[in-house]
Amino acid sequence: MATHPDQSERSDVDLVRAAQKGGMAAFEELVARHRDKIYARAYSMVRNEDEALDLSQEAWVKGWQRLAQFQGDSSFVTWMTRIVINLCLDQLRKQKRQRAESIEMLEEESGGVERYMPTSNPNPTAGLERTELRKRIDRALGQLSQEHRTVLVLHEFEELEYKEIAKRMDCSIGTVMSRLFYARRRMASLLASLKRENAE
Amino acid sequence: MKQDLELKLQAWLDGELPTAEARAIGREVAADAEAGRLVAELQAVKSALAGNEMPVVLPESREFYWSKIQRQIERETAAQRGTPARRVARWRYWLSPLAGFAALACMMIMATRPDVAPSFDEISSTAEGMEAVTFHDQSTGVTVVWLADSSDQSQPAQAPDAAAPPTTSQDSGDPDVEME
Amino acid sequence: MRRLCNVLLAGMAYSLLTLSVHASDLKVEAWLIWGANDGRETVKFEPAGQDLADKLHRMFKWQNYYEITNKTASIPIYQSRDLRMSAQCTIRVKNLGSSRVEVSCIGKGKQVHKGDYTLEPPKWLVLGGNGTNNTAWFIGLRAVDKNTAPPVVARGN
Repeated sequence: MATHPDQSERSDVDLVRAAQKGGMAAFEELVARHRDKIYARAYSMVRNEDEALDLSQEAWVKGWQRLAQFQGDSSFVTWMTRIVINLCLDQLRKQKRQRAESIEMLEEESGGVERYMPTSNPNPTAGLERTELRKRIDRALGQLSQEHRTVLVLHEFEELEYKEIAKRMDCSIGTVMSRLFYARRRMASLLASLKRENAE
Repeated sequence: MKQDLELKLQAWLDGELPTAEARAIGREVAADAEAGRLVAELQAVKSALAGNEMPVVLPESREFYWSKIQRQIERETAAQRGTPARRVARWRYWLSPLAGFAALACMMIMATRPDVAPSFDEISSTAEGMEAVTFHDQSTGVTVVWLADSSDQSQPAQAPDAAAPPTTSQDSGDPDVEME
Repeated sequence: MRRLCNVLLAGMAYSLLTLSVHASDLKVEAWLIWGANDGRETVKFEPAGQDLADKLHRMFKWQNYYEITNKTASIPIYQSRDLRMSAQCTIRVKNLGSSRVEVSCIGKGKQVHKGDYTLEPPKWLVLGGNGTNNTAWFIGLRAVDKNTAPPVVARGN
């Protein structure tokens, strides 16, 4: 695959226009520029390297096929992120087991054990260096269920509104709110216990 | 605290409440210590997460990753260029029973055929900058995939007739496999 | 009538397919071998097993072949397993059924090669490449069944 050094100077807008006209080299530059971000989003949702690779690749292929639909209402990378999120959600839906879902749904109705916990230290991450904080957050996210991690990722990292999350996750706004509440309280508890672990 | 109120406190924090309701909840937070503590905890989690997603790097080289995407795009483009859908559907309608018989016949033949040499060098992909040379050595029955840097001129050397000159002693250490 | 034929055919085809696909786990063993001209007296590793060493001798120029490590795995159908051969080298083997495998070669965290191969005991699949100082690395991979003799390690030669 020959490199195209001149492409790296071009803006995303220019590259998208060129790609929309069939310019594969321009699209390749877009892939190179944003591949980490798209892969990272997939990984944050499915937490499996292989699956994230496959899903991110599929997202790029779909991106190429749907380029004509991209109107520039958002940035190109935001548009691509939405594509990979949808693919991840489809994947998660396929993997969902009925039994586990009912247990989780029951917990969501009642709020789970976290509902009854006293509020923890309001700032479990105080004084942490950024790298350490990110590691702890990542560890804590890994301990959440897929449903709860998904809603947290979509709200906190993608900054989607409840309505948008409900649409993408194919559930009610009430369910989004319950899941988000549960996920946040669980994160608070996990971050507090990670802090205690490290202090020992 | 009732769950309904808890969720409203959260929605207030997230700016998801209509203005009038938001004002009412705001007053509740100010007046009720328990509500205030819950909101503080939720806010702390929000603040901790904001901008602190762990950076993740895609674990494949640019060229290798792109080559797979490009191949898939080309495959799907070629597939879309097939005969018009209706004609294909009609042919499928009439041919599917015949296809079924043919598949069955193939399976029965394959189940009873003698062992044949397996095919090798099937679908494979190699990272950009690398070359893979695959060969099947008849004398040993071994399939070899030799990976080399594209700039490396050396070929997989064949066994010589004469012995190579002796090398000097050296501490070999752990020959950590480095794929160049 | 036509639909009935289709259903019957589908049922028979499916039965044959499930019989022919090897549904049990695939047992594989992988050997990391170092090819060098260095004599035994200067090398701390044991010579590689006779079977594989003989074959490598016949195909490549190096005088000696040493066993660095070996790994085994039992891979359920359609699953993959990572075999970490060294700090920088992992092979990922995916069981595709019917003695077919997908083998990925990962060096320094990057996938350098991936391919589909047939792995029928006792035949070897060998991936290799140049090492430093006129040496070479080889990963010998094969499927193991109850009839496959383990590679005999020539100790004390």
